[in-house]
Amino acid sequence: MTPEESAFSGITRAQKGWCFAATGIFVYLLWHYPLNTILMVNLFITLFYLSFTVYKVILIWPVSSERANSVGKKQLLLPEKLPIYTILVPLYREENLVRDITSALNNLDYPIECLDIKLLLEEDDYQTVEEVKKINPGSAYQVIILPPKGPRTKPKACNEGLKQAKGKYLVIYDAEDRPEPDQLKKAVAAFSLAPATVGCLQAKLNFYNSRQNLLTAWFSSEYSLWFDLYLPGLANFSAPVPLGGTSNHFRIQALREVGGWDPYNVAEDCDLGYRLYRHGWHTRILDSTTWEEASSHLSDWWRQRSRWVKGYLQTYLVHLRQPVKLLRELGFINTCHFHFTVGGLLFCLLINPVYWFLTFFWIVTRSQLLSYFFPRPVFLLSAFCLFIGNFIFVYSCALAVFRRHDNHLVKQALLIPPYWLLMSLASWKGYWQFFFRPHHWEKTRHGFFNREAVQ
Amino acid sequence: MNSFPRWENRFVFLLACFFLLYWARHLLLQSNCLCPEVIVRTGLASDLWAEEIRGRQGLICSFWWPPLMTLLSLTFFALHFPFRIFLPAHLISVFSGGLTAFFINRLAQKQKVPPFFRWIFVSGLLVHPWVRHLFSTGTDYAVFLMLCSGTVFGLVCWMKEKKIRYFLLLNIFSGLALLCHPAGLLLVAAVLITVIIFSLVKEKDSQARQATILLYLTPVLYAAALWLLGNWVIMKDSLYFLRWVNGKTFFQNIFLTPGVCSDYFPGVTLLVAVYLSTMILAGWRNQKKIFCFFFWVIFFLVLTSTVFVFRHASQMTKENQQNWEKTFQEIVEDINFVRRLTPGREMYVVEFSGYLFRYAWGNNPGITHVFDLARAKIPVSPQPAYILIPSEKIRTFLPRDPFFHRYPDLPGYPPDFLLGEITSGSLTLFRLLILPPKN
Repeated sequence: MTPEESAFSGITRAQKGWCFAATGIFVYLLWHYPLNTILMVNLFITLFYLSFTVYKVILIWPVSSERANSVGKKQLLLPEKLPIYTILVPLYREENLVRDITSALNNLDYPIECLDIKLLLEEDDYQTVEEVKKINPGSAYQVIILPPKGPRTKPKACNEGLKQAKGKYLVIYDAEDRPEPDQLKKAVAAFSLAPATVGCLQAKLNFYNSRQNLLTAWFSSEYSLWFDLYLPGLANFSAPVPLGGTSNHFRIQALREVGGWDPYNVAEDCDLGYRLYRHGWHTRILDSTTWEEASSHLSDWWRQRSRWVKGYLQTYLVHLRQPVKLLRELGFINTCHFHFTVGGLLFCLLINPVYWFLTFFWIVTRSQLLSYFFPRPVFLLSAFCLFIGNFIFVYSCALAVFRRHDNHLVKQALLIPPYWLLMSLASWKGYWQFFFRPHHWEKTRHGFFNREAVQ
Repeated sequence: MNSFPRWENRFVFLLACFFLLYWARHLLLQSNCLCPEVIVRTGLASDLWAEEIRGRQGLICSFWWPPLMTLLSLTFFALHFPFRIFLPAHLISVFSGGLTAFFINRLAQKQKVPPFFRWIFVSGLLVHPWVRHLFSTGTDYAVFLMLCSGTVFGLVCWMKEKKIRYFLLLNIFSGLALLCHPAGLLLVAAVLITVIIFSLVKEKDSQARQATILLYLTPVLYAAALWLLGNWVIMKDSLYFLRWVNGKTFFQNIFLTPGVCSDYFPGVTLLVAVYLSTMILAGWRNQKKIFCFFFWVIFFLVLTSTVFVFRHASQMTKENQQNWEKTFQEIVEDINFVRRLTPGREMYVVEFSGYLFRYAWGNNPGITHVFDLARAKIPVSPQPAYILIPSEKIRTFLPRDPFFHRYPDLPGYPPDFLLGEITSGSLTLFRLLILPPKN
């Protein structure tokens, strides 16, 4: 991986220059033409909201209406001899989950002699190391102890695992994951059917503790929308796909060609999805689910979400270091996909609270001041985005869980807007951290679910 | 192999559009007055844009019609296209007619009805004078019927195939139909009952049943909530239409009162509803025999009604046009008469009939203000002649109106107010001419 592709250096000088120039122009205009400037900014944001809404509808409609399917849905045509499959499991302070993950991996319907499982442990994480030794998982498992230096991140651990990987294909699972038993076979079948340019298959992620509380129910609805509708929608358009944190199945050749993961990017999965595409590798969605544990505590969820937003921002800026090159490598349409999927999401999270506050302010005060910033056409478009756009997003969430037959989540999915507020607030923390603690990895704690209920 | 090629539906859609476009052109060129309901609805769009009398959009429940019309009108305005005000309305109707034909034909395809029968039926439906007139005239009735057809199409297909896309179509179209016309309430009630019964019969899991019903009801309730919210924001009263001058009979008026274009509405609704209900029955039991039996019954009804009604319907349309032209002329004469009596004075037209004489006052540039007295509590006897209203009482007649502060002060004593009633066909109109006092 080249330094230009890494988030190590953060914002480049050129990017800083552009930021200062844009801020300077904005301040100048605001000083000299305050009302018109705000009006134009408002118009721009309204048009952005409108296009973002339309974009998402275009993406998810073919999938939600079942016109487009994920790969691996129907047939399972396997080669005669199954290839070696490498499984990377980075573990850090997760001694309470070692037994669960080894049990889940042992349940995989794949010949044990064809598995190359690597447990990636940190040297100073004594409890987890001890627990692994105590369990003694078996001959298919290899324990790799990582020295406590450099960035203490999951991608760094995965890179170490990649160096020693023996398989033709590779997949990552987290400690709390429970992949469907036939997932590896489905992936092998899908890879054998897919064109040679398909370098990655992203399995769908969802949660086994969605019933635990309202937060896990909302989180589950969000995941259903993202992994069941949105990402398949992107794959359906052959667009680059921001990968999820786990259950990414790679052709190991593709992964090595792009240089593995960026250890300095805290959303290395998202970054890798785009880097793969820029190197000519495509991603498809695998019709198999890996069940995870949703953060059931607000504090954990908060840390996880702010890290994701920070990572998305890192990814966005890394890929925009050379915008012309990006445009050349992705093409115009896919560059638009990139801007909407990564930049659009970040911008939405950033700006949503402002507009919610404005709406609330208008309802309470009926201030005439706002009517200046919302002339008739802007008002109509804004009203459309507020009433119809938001409804589309809420309804999509409900539809996503309905498609998954998670009928118990439909009610919670219809009440999801407060969750969006939480997302926006967490994202503000992510923005703040981007400037002051860019490479800090906020570890999400797991193991708080009710085991009996999940069973 | 797909024995029902997709091109057939597209062909039906295009054929219907061309056919209806021909009649729309005919109507546009027929008279300067056009159909009065088109004037009312295009007026709505203009009023919305100009922030005048905005409450009317809620009055007829065409919540999303005015913005759509406005956007299209602006497009044509930019192109300096002739008939730019009315053309969008007609085009929307024609497009709706095409889509209705598409849905009906597609539904028949799904039911594996032989091509001969379905083509005959679609053609018969389109050439029926009521249907033809309704789908080529720029009102929201056409859109409503299209939404009804789409809803039933979604319902039948969902019941047969259980695919999400049909469920989505059903839900979204139901919500839009409710926003388009109060008769959507009937549609939603009928579909809701069908969905509940179907879920009870087919779904074994109670959570799945609840989720299905909830997902159906959500867009519908949201649409209703939007309408009520819109009424509240604009009129400060979500249920103001019930307190309107005709509030007590609001729903009767909507469903039963014959209007001009709406003369055809119940008939066409009935035809389409019976046809689509047949489809539901056939879809439910998946029995072609039921469909074929009802098909011939309906076909016979359509055929006979076409033959017997055509003459009457054409005559009625002609009379209505003449009445409206006469009405407009009378208003223009009234205004000129009053102007002759009081030369050089500013003139106001206050109109509370629910129908705005845009054509009439548009040709009298001296009239600068139009007031909405649609909700005025003026005690009007059944058939009054011209009556006088004392000016000092005018404010008491006016209802609570959020835009009242925008109105200029009404003129004072002595009374220079004329309240007139004109009956045109089956429609009764009132108007009030106000003259400021002499200096």
